[in-house]
Amino acid sequence: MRAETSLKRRLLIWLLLPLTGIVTLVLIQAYTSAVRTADRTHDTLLAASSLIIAERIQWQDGQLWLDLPESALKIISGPDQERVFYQITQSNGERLTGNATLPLPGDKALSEPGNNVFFYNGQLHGMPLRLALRHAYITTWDQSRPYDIIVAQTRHTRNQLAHTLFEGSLLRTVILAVLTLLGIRLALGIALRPLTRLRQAIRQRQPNDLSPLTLNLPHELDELVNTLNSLLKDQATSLKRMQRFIADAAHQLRTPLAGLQARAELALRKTQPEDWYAALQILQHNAMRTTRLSNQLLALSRVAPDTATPHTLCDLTQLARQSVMDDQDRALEQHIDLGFEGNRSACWVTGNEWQLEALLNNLLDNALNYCPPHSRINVSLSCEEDYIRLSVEDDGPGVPAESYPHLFERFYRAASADTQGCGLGLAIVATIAQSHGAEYQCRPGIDGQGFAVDITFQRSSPTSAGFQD
Amino acid sequence: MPQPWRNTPCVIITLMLTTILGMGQGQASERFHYPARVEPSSPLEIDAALDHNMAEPLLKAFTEKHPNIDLTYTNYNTFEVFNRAQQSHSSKTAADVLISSAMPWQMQLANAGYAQPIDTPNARQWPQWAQWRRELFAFTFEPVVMVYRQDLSQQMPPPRSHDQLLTALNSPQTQLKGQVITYDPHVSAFGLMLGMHDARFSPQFWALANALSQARFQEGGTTNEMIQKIIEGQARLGYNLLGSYAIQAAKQHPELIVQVPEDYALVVTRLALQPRNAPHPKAGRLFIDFLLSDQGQSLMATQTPLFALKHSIQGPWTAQSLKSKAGTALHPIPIDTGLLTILDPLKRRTFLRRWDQTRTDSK
Repeated sequence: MRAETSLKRRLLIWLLLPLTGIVTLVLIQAYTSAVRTADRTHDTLLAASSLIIAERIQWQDGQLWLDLPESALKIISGPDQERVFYQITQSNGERLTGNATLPLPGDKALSEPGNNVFFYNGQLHGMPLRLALRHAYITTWDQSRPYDIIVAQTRHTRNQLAHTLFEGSLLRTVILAVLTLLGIRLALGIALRPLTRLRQAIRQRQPNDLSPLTLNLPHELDELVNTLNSLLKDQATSLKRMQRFIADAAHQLRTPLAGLQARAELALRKTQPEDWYAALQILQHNAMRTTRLSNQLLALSRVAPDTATPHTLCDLTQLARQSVMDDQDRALEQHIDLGFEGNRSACWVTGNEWQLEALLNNLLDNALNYCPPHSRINVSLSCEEDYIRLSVEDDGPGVPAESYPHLFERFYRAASADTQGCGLGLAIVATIAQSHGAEYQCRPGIDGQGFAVDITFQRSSPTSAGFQD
Repeated sequence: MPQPWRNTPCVIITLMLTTILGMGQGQASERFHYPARVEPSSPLEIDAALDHNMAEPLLKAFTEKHPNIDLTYTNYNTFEVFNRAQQSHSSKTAADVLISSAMPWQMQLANAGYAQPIDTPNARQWPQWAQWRRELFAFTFEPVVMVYRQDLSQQMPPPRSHDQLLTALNSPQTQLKGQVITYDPHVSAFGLMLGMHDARFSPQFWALANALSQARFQEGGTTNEMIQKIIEGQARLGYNLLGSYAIQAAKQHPELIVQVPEDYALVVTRLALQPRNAPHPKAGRLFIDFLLSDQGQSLMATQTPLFALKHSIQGPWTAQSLKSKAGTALHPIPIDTGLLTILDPLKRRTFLRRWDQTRTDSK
């Protein structure tokens, strides 16, 4: 199973990533806040302890007196039996009393204005401590002596409190995250239900059902449904065209075959070899026409616009010349003047060589078929800066201008035409021109008489043509 | 380990000149060796401020229970126990177990992180009030008592409480002038601790101190020293003596009467700890666990008047029996960081100044 196949999983992953990020942030915040709360709670006790000591200090008879109360140490030791330390120094650093030599706060902590108690972290013999330093004064009538009290405790209790607080937040956050996940799963199921419905609707279709989908879906899916519907419509049109083509082709093939059958039956009733000979001649002629018709049908199906054929560089001058030369015998037979007009240099177009040959052959065949003897047919090729125009003109009977729009349709025949053609020649020309990105149009022929077809190709770039020369 | 002595206990008495800052015990450090009876042996060094004759039943029972332990018991005064512990960081002569009745100093060591926690079954079940962080264990329950000679009761009703003592001292016909002996807080930190707790317990202590001064009391450095004076008749009443030693002495000297004060009686406990840098921590843990065990506690209740602290123990000397007699009058000195204040030099100076003032005032 490819990873791309599950839309639900993609959504889940992309919702989970930000969720994880948010949960991490929340937990970091919860941890710092838990530590801060625990510190604040216990810092209050440190402050109280230092205050108790400060209140007991007296100056008498030129000496400092302190009746250190047990409570000052007991409240910061607490029920969890923290280790406690204290130290009293004069501001000049001279030590007055204490049970340990304690670290001093950094300058930063001391610079806070309007505050005479500072809390900071430190270490004593490798034990992490929380310390509070209080600036105080012993005031007598004649002077005021500054001194510092530092009280400290180990961090066990506050770490535990922080831990407990954090555990609470952790639990809440995890529950919230799990609920959110469940919610997302549920929401995804509900939100993706229209897609499931669409899938089921498509899966349950009969293969020949090409009618548009009519589902009540969210508007985000409109485009998808519209695309699907237009694809279905194209399929339906193409199928219809194919069916019509097959029906037309069968119909077209039936007429000459019926003629062949009737001629053969008629000849079989005759007894004279001369009659047989005449009948065989007609049969041969009709068989040729039928062969030509089936060839054209085959060609038409092969150049159907959806069949991709490789394009190479082709010399159109060479191709046109060759076609004119090939048909020269037939033109002479019909006393038609078939000529080629154009310079000798190569004219490169990107295309499929056999298709371009078929295009030329059909145009020439058409002209030769409809032109009476002593007509002129002129094949011309003009290579301009940005386009190449191939024209096949004649001065035959021509086609009424009102038929021009229909001439390139399949099986269309102009009203004036005899029964020789089958109405596929120009349709093939049009299909091939389309597949080469060329424009095609028809107009009156030589001197405003007759009929002409212009095919205009885009010029291939000279650089891409360069290596062919 | 060389074992030149086969009989137990072998006693090497090393008489040392020590400072007289002793807290209740003898002035000399005595070393007692209990050799292991099976190999391989495991050494165990105990530094204690506990008279050997009091500790002997415990040491014998312990070495019988653990014959592989090669036990060396050295009896110092409390000051030396503390001093050696503090110096052991540099001198590498740490003991495996420290025992001392100098509660503030033991607390000072534990608070400074010198002790390591003990996690044995008996330690885990030890009452919360009698331990600190499982680093410091109180295993005895020794009341602070008054001791008087029996002949005192023929001249006056002997005082049974602080209040009666104060009344007796203040009485114009008092027989106690120059006959009372108590700790000199300048010399004995143990006496200082008792004085501070007395003062904290009741402001009337200063009235008693005043009365003692009026009665020209004598001062002593250790309980044994003061008991000796009472036996010899130089004094007739001792105030604030260590009950365990007094009872031990009274066993041989029936003329001594030990009185647990009826209004309130301080109770001190002996504290054991194991230093962090103990060279044989396993053996040390075994010994502390033994002190807290039913067997060890029973010995303290029956063989030696240290008073078993554990509830369930039966015997003449237990905290339980003492409580049933003295009731709510017993006030064990709490084992907490409040003890540290007693070591504060400024607090001591304040107390001693007041003490001295009382004496000069009465002159």
